[in-house]
Amino acid sequence: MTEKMCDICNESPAVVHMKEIENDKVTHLDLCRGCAEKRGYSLGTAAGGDIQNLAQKLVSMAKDVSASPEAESIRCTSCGLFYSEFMRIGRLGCPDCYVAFTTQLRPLLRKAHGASAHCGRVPKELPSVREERRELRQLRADLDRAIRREEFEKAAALRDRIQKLEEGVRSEAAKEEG
Amino acid sequence: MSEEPRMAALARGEGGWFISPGPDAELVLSTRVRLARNLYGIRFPNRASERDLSRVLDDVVASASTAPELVPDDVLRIAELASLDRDVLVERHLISSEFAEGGACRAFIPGRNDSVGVMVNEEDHLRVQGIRGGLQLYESWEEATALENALGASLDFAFDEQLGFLTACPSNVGTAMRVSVMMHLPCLVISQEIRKVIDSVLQIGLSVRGFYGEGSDVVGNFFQISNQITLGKSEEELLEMMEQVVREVLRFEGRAREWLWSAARSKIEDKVFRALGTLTHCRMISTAEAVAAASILRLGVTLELANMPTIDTLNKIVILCQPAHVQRIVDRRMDSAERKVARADMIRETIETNDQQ
Repeated sequence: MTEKMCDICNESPAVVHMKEIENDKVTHLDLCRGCAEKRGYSLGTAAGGDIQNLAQKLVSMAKDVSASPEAESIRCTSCGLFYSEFMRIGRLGCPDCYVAFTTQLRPLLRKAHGASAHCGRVPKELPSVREERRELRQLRADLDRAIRREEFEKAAALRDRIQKLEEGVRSEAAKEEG
Repeated sequence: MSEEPRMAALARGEGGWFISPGPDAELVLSTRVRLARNLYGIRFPNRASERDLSRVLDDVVASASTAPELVPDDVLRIAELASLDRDVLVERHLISSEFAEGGACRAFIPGRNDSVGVMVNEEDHLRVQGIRGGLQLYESWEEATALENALGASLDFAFDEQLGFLTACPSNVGTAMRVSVMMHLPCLVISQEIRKVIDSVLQIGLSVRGFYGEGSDVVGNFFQISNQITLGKSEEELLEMMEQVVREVLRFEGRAREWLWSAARSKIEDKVFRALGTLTHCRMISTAEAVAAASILRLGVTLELANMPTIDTLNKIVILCQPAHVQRIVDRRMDSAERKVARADMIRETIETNDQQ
């Protein structure tokens, strides 16, 4: 869920989501508070006035937490997404973004969800695949650090190891499927 | 089954979850559980190439053929669907309106009945959904989870031990589960206590959506409550929290109903029986009027008044009276006046065939 802007003014984030029936046609509208009131939807009577969804909150928090230019220029080595882009669109580019932006995301998640650790269901997977994934995550974190410190030789070596390992995981996962 | 009969059957409401209403059905229209999943090693849809998206779709369709709950032959590719069919899927909440606008490799894989389904390449690679009539939190969850398990046997879901299931938006990470309960709260609206109730639900960190008609009137008195938090609580804990909140809101509605019934019995009976007259005798009716009348009759059912249609009849009317449904049954676009006539015919026929058996 990205930060949805108001369908009418396109300036403020939408806080009221409604289904409107006009001329017999159902339309979905996402409106900011001002436009909703202008349109005659009195928030005082029946609506959920302060609907601000978690996705919107996250985006505004992201702007607070990482105002530093260094944070904005951090980039995911897997998909190339800059943290500044995430701040703008509120969506990550790939599963590895969670590793690349871990320092920035952790406080955000703690603030938004009130927790930073998953305690629900876990998918079934081979222990060997899990082990290699853990190693991959570590290598990715190392790679991100190497790039930040402009240690390009080290980064190139890490990238090669990641690629090799990724191929291994993919074929292992494929075997498991087969 | 090909697309044609599948969509026509859907528009007629055959085999829909709303035919078997479930517990607390007068007060709860539906319970939905949606699980977001992504495939490991592939970019999220907003950043994926068309080749990536097509790989996701191929993998999911291949996996769907091993899941007994799904009908993979009926994969509905959004780009290939007629616009009326897309609108029907949106009106049924099977796909989002944004998703219906199309885009490469977006598809909906329907279940054997419409109580499960999978959206492919929406915000996340997969959105697995389970829907039941009435308040059936655990049943809907089990339904969605069984399907997710079946798909997970051959798909490699992106998962992190610390963060759980990884999603395009960090607001869904963890269980990646969104539970939504659509409640019917006419007495809280009439007694103007709804605002207080909504405020307290929002304070707990849940979200509330109302469904509106023209002006500031609430059409149908339907409100949807959903969880927002997905991290740090297990699926069972989230379901339990939802159950507690929903039960509490239902208790408030019950109290408001008792109060109204003792304070304004004739007024309420008058409203209910006029609404019955409207639905059984109308010759032209708008969606808003039909939904509003069906809502009042639902209250009549809760109050156990005589000669009320059954809840599944009222469910059917609320869902099938929407514009795309009305048009899909005859399979052509109609203007507003024509739709009103067709809608009135559908409603009278639904009441006659369902309730006079």
